[in-house]
Amino acid sequence: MTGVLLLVKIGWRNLWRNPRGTLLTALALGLGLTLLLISLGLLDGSHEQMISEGVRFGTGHVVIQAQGYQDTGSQDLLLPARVVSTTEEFLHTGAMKHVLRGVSPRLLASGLLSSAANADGVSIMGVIPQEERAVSLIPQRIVEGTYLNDDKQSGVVIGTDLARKLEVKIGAKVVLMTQAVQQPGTEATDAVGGGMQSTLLRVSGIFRTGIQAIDAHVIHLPLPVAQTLLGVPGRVTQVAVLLEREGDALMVATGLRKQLAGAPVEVLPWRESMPTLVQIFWLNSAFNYVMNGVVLAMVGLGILNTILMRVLERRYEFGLCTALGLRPLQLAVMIIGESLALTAISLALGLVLGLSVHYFFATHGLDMRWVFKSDLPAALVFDPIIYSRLSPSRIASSVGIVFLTATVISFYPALKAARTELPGALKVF
Amino acid sequence: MSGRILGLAWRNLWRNPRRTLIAMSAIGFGYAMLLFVACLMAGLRQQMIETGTSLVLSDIEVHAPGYYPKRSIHQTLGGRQGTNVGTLLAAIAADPRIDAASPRVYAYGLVSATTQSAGAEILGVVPNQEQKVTVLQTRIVKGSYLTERMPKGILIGDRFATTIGVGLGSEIIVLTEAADGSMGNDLYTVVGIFHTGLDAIDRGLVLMSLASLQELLRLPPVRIHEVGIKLHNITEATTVAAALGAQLGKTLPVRVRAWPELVPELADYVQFNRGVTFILFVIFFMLVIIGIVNTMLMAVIERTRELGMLMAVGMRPVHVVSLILAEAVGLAAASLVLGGVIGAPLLWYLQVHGLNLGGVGDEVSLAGVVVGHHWYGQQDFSAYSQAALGLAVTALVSALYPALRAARFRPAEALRKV
Repeated sequence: MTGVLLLVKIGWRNLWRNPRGTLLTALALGLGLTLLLISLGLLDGSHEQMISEGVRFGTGHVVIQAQGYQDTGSQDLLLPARVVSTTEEFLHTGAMKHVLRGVSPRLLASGLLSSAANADGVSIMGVIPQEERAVSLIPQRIVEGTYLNDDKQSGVVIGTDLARKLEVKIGAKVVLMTQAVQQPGTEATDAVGGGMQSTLLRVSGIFRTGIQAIDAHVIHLPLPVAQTLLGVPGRVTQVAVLLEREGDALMVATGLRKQLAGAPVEVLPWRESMPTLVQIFWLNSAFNYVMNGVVLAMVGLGILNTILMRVLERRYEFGLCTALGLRPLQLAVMIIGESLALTAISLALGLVLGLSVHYFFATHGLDMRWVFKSDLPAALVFDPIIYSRLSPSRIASSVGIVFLTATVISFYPALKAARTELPGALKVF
Repeated sequence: MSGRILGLAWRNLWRNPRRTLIAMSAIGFGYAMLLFVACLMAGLRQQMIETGTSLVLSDIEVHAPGYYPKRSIHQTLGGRQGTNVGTLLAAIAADPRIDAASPRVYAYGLVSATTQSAGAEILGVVPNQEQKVTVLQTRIVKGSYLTERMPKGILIGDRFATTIGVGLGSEIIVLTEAADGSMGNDLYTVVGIFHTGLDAIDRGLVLMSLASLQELLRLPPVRIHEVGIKLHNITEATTVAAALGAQLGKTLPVRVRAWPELVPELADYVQFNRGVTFILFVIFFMLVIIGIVNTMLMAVIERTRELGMLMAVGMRPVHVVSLILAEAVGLAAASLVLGGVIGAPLLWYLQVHGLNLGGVGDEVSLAGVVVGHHWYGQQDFSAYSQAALGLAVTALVSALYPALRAARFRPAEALRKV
């Protein structure tokens, strides 16, 4: 037992016979880990950003809407009034409160928006400005004017593509026309139900999300205005829920389903309500897998290169040890011990370096805006500033992979050295 | 002298073949990975541009000044008098870089079926010519593309069909404001339904024949809004657009736009993709650099005695530096060849078979890009050569430190080392 300890001690001393060389090797190995951490952090970060921003252009993490709305999109399907209050009550109770970021009731319909110059079909979204800010990203993507607020009751917010098409600027008057909601059970003959309705609005803000379907079609207006227009005071189409963490979506959806059992509603987590986003998400995962694979392979080869370089060239030294009476097994243990110590130093170096860079990218972000020539905000769906994100398990697995690779690779030179033939090894040239 | 140093460097590399081969495999593999990633990213860009332009847009569009993006139906090419469409198309086709051109008319209108109605963009095309410019005909899921035999035929997207509740063979009414200020409306038959995966198109575009739309809008046949142009090589779009603008501008007031101007968000995505590729390259480069620096440093430290001997027999420090640098360049060159050999089949595979993403469900669309289940690569030789050049320069720079260190050896001390 003391033998092994002694050998490890010799290995440790070997490292410090040439401190500069050792540090350089450790730096080379450590940089492998550093780069692994940086690339994983950036890839994971952009991936998470993609979901957390993606859901905010749609229905949030969880959405509650009338049964069948997801498939038909019919504007006549509204949530029963008590469902909305039950939902809000449930979400604001103790356990749910901590995972919740925002709840926004919305009234959705389609209509025709006309300006003096032109007209276009739009998706109307009646919202409570305060609540919508907490859920949607559209309020944050205003490029001109301001988002809706409670003072301006006749305000409307439209996308850049629609503004260009209608040739309108901030403050311009637009007319919104739509068919009032046909309530089940009522005939379309009375003044409101089913008839064409219109209202005069003023453009208070213009947003740009980079998603053409949104920039060209979606308009936001205050909920009461939309309700009056559609003839359904107090009613909404859906309640969008944004959570602190994506991971809670299923839990919240299940809770809501239980709470709303029996009501004619559907509670959908984002994976069901936004199939397109799921596909984008999956495409991005595939991309990340490929890139992670490439980075790992390169780091592995770098380690192989570094360790073999260090050990394979020391035949003379190992030969001398053997000549002095070190047995092959002992020699192997010494070399492995030395490699382990070297790896440990490298991992420490790599961790410190990698985590510092990660910390910088996590707080300041990697700004990708330099790739765009124009001064205009890029028409990107996702923020061009990438924030690094590393989970503890990612860090642990990176360290583990580098450690394992380094250890496994160091067995080869150890075995090789153990079989060194004495006379050959001691020849100087 | 320099020739002899190169020869010496090359022989030195192979005096210890194992070390050289290990370093070569690390650097060569790194280069192969750079090729792999460059090819994939170029493939993604290519796919973005292809799907973004080839479905309805085309590579270059010719409009009257002020027509785009407002698309007012009055601003036809050549103003209210219109222009001789045949002459215009012939003038455009005269450029050998242009593959095909197709005249188009646009309108916005309300499309109604028996119970439901919805607004849509209406595109009027000459079916034979349009199919040479765009590939929407490959995305028909039911029925067929427009034909000359069915002048009142109309082509709609699958999502639009669901919205207004119609199917193949259904009759629908299109209502729009005509050029003379009256309301034009007519009855059409759905002859085909397409699915592109792009929501904006599947949900909001209908196509009919150019003549039918002109009739509906009360526009004479000489008045068209746009000519869509397909090039042999889309990378020339911006240059061809400029040349064409100058050429046509002599006889007709026109504004010619290439796709980056027509869909700036697509151009932004392509730029973003280049940025991401650059960042990945930086990371991969650093990994490769580590390999080179390490190898060269070891090579010098291990050969202290040998280099000392060379200096003792009269080699000057500057020659030692060039020797080490020459070894580094030789190593890089050999590694790049190895990387190319490893990479070539990979690149071939990516281009021909693509990377199977094995996903579920429909194809994916993001910002006008549709990606299928296979991720195809695209050869990007300029990136390949840049990466090669970068690695060679890196090898040279990273060998500088070991080389300078070797040059400072004092022969007497160096010879004492084992």
